[in-house]
Amino acid sequence: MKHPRAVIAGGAALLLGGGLLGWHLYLDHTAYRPPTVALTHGECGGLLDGPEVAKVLGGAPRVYVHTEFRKADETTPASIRCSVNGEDGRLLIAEASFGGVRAGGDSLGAAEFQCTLDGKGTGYRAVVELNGANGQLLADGPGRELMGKVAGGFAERAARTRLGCTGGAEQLTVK
Amino acid sequence: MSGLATRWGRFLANRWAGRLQDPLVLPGVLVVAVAAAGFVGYRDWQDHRPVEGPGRSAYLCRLPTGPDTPLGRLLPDGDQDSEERTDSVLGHDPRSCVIRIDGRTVLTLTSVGRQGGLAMPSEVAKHPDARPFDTGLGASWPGGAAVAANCLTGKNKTNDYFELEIVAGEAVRTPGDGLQAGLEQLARAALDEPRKEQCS
Repeated sequence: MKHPRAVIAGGAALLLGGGLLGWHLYLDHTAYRPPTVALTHGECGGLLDGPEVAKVLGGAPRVYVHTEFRKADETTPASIRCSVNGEDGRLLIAEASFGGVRAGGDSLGAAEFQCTLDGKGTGYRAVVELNGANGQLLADGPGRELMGKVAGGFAERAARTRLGCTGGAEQLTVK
Repeated sequence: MSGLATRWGRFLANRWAGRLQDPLVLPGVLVVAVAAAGFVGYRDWQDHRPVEGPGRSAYLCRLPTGPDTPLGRLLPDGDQDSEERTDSVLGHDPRSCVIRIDGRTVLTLTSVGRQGGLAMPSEVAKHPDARPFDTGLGASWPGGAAVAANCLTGKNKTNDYFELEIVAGEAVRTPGDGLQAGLEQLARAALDEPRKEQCS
């Protein structure tokens, strides 16, 4: 051994690095992974029962779903609004109501469709919004394509089962 | 390959080993390295901590879930609990709240506002084996309980009384004193929330 101190320094570096790697792997292995949020038991009238929704929501140990249904009256067509929380405090709000369409984004899915009720057509929009824990749109959202899929699926199921549209969601377009 | 490694080792040793001869440098380097590793390890641990830890929600359907509460006694163990509240914005449709554990229904609470004189909940008539119990006008049967109670608020109220119905689901746990008694206790404890919702 020509340089015992160099060996000590190198050995210490190796030990510390290996220790950190092992520590990281151990943490990864034992990390708590909450169960996936699946709305397959009739939550929100079954309107959010799809694999794309589960992908957007991730896992959470405690799930709160809130469904609000507004019946049609003389001036306003029926509408439905659901909210559910998911991973890391994110909140998915899905709403099908009449009105002008919004543009989609990485955390916002938007679709428009026609609903025929009693022979009368109404323009509807479906908006799904994914908010972060701070109440703002999630900054690194799951992407426009996936959010569009969520909005489209929600619109289709809402038109068929909840809004009572005779022909389902007609002319469904994802924005 | 090993020749290259040896040469690199020798190169590094020649370049740095001289400086390590100072008796204070090596301990210093080791102390700094261990401290840095500790910091990195701590940061790694923090990054792995879940934002939401496991555990039961403190309230489900606005009822406490502690082990010694009427609701807590009926809840089974599980990894994920969920509550779903359903409201109708217009009209006097029933409001419901469903408690599920791991996707299996534990309890369904339904409340509806009524007008007129206080009367036995309509649901009771469907259960010939129902037995009355003390709270308001209430009756329970195996797997369910229903109560009718007056609105206590003053004028300007939309409803005169309300009904609360509790139905046990597949996942409900049978407490020591039996499911039916457990549901009666829960019905007594659960009247405040529908009173607020249906009587204002």
